[in-house]
Amino acid sequence: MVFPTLAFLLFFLVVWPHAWIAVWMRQHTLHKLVIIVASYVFYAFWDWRFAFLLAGSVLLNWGTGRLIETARGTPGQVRWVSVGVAANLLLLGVFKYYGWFSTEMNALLRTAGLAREIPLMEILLPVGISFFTFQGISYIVDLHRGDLDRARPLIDVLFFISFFSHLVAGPIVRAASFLPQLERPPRPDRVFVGLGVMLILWGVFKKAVVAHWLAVGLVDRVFFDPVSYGTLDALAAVYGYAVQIYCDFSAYSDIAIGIAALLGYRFQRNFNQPYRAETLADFWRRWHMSLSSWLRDYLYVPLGGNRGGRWRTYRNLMLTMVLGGIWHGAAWKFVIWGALHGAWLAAERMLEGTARNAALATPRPRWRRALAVALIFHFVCFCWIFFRAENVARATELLGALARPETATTLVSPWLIGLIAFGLAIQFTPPDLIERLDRVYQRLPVVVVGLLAALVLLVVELIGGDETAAFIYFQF
Amino acid sequence: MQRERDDADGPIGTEELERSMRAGRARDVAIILGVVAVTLLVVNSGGLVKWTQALPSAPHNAWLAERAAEWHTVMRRLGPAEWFEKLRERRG
Repeated sequence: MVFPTLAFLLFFLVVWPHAWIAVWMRQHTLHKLVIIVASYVFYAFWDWRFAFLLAGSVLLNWGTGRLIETARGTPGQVRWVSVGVAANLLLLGVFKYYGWFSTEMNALLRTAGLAREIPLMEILLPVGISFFTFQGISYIVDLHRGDLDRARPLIDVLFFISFFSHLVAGPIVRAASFLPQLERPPRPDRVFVGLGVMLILWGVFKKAVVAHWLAVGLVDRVFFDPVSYGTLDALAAVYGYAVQIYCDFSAYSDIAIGIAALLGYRFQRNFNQPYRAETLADFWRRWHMSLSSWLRDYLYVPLGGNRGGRWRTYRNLMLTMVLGGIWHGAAWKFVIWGALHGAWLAAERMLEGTARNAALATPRPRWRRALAVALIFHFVCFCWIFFRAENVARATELLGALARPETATTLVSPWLIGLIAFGLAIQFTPPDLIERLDRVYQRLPVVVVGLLAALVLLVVELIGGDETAAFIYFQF
Repeated sequence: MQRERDDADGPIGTEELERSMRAGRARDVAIILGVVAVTLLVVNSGGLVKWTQALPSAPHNAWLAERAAEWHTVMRRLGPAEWFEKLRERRG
């Protein structure tokens, strides 16, 4: 079940009133059960067998939480945290990386002239496994660090990890920020309706119109067969993918946050106009913020962060970004993507002292800031080539197409250029735009808001694609 | 495990957005969802037909598809569904 579809609308039209009726009846447990059952139905739409895997992951983390609580203040606490984190990583490793690992190992063994081979297995990748595993780790580590005051009952852990809104493609919700929300039922008089409705509609538009048409009209074709296209088509496809992945992934996050808001819950924001970043570190504070802050708090900091001197900081940045790359998928292209980001972040850190002093001495003129934004955007686009291409060889072909002196274009059209320009322009809208729109919303009668929402959906139905493709981040 | 924080960190929650926004009532959401559902059922009844026809083959799904088709016929006769289909055809 994909968000911007009729099936999901019908699903939500059933779930939403039931969840609030339970609140109205003062049945908090029933309210949680409604959302948990709905979440498992939602998840089972992909493959009902994976619902058991999800439940198993919840039980694992809930059980580990109980053991940590029991062993608090003793050496056993650290042991249980290690066991819990290792079990989560093992689960992720088996389902996500076993196939890649065995293929690569067998190639290595063959090269070394050894006859023995690691058995290959076709393991289906459960949708959203990377997200719910990271949330499970967040529960265990937050409990261990004391960010979460106590282990939570099974029903709360079930709700936290399985909530359909964030289940399959994030945002990666933190235990310490979400679980306290489950202590009391959501208040029916404190629902951020304007925020929720606007985020959902904006998300639907970005996904069904911008991301859809860029994917089918340009990006998929060029990345499928880069050798058939010249410089302009290849360049447009790279820019197109930068806009497509932003409009696709931020759309999912917006809809997820909006749905949670309509049910009375609050998630982290996941995107904040990332392509206006002036440094790569700034980009990572704006792009997939829930993953980048997760990697920082649960990987970079435990590795030592910037506490062990310059070279250790560079090593930790590199390791964090390479592992962040591998989190996206088991392939060399993601390793390269992560390594490129890690190397640039390390280089920025290396130059940071000098740049900071210079910035303090003279405020950077506007043209230099614009140049910095353009530079970072193009570096990010270059890295996206590896991220999007089927494999490293295909990425190299696309780089070849970019270098080919052929300006004829077969795909670029005013419509596609317009979509790319739109996707870039929205990076520079006023940061408080949503607050301004909320003030407009407050002045409108609710029925008019409903009619406007319906109008937006009808316009999307008219100009969007006939079939809504799965979100890019479902595969991760 | 020692914590370390940068200047710009701390997850940015929707709290900062909510601070400058006014909370509404769940009842408002019910009205909005109701208006959206009815408008889509009336204007885009063709979408409902398409969706029911794509459901897996089963007696209750066939029944649902028939009802959706009947509803679509009525909406076309009344006008809004036909008007929307014409717009869609113009898009190509």
